[in-house]
Amino acid sequence: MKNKSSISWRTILAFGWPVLLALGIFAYIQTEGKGSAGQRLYALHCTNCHGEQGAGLRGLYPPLAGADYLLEGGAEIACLIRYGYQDSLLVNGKWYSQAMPGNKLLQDQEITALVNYIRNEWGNEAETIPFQEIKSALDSCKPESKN
Amino acid sequence: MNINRLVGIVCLLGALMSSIGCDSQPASKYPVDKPLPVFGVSKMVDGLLVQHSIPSFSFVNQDSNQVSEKDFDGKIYIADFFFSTCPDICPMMSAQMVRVYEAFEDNEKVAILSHSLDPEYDTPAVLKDYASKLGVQAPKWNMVTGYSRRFISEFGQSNYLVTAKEDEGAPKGILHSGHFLLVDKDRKIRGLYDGTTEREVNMLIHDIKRLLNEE
Repeated sequence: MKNKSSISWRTILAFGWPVLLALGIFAYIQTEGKGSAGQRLYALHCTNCHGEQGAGLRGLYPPLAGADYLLEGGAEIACLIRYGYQDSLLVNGKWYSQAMPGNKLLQDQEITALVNYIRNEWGNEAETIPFQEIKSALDSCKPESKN
Repeated sequence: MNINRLVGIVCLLGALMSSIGCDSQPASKYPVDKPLPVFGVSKMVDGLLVQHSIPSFSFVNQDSNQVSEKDFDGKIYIADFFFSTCPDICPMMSAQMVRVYEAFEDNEKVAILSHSLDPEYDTPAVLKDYASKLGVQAPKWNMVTGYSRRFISEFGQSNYLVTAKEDEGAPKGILHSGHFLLVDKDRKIRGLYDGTTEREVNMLIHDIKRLLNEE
């Protein structure tokens, strides 16, 4: 009886740790891979200025969380993401004039994911804008070809 | 069986404690049992070994006022290198430097000196606009310009030990590191911190207090 019980403890100690470790690694990978495409794109292209919580930075970079410009506007925000913005922008009654760089390498699908992510994160709630609508907005704001 | 059970519990406790340890961070970046280190290569001057320190300088700040080392007499300051239109690391650096500014807003012995690496674009008026939008002011936070690109790159590399150079592949052709440098009242560098991460800037804020106590 005594022997049996001590073996079971040794078994737990010997085999328990690798199992725990594997579970830990699995959980880590799950967390790393977690999140929508929009979330990953946001982390990559937007957090530097707009922050992890979409709070912006004082009077320099506008917030996205609770931003009327974003929530009351529509698909045209896609143009701002792709081509950037050089003029002043009114967000929640405050003017922001730091130039926003464009993200010309992002595909239409990626911009769709990004737009719908920022419209529905940090407490934001807005209707999902379908891909077709984003695509036609992007087509309409496409600068005329120089050729 | 009891001993084995005890071993099991001890192991579990150990695992729990080490997992908590993973999340905590050291308060200071450097060993706490001795003074903060002095960075840079010491030189022999008249037979005496002299530690590296920041030489005299004279720049123009966001209010178009001259700023020299005399403005930092008896003060600790935090130096960095940036430019107002830098799209990648500068926003993070500014966000973190604002935290340092807020932490020592009421302490006259602490100041901030941000050098623009794009002096042609970053005129005093541009820097004034940038500072105003950040809600910060000189003399607590001086943003300086009034030199050539080449001068400030070399000045930063040779005196503040940071990377700052022209590079075609980098945004606006300026390659630079996001370090914050902790400089004591004798203008010696006492700490280097990654100014783009909250973790390192927490340590900087802690080490500024250490340095204030030391002096």
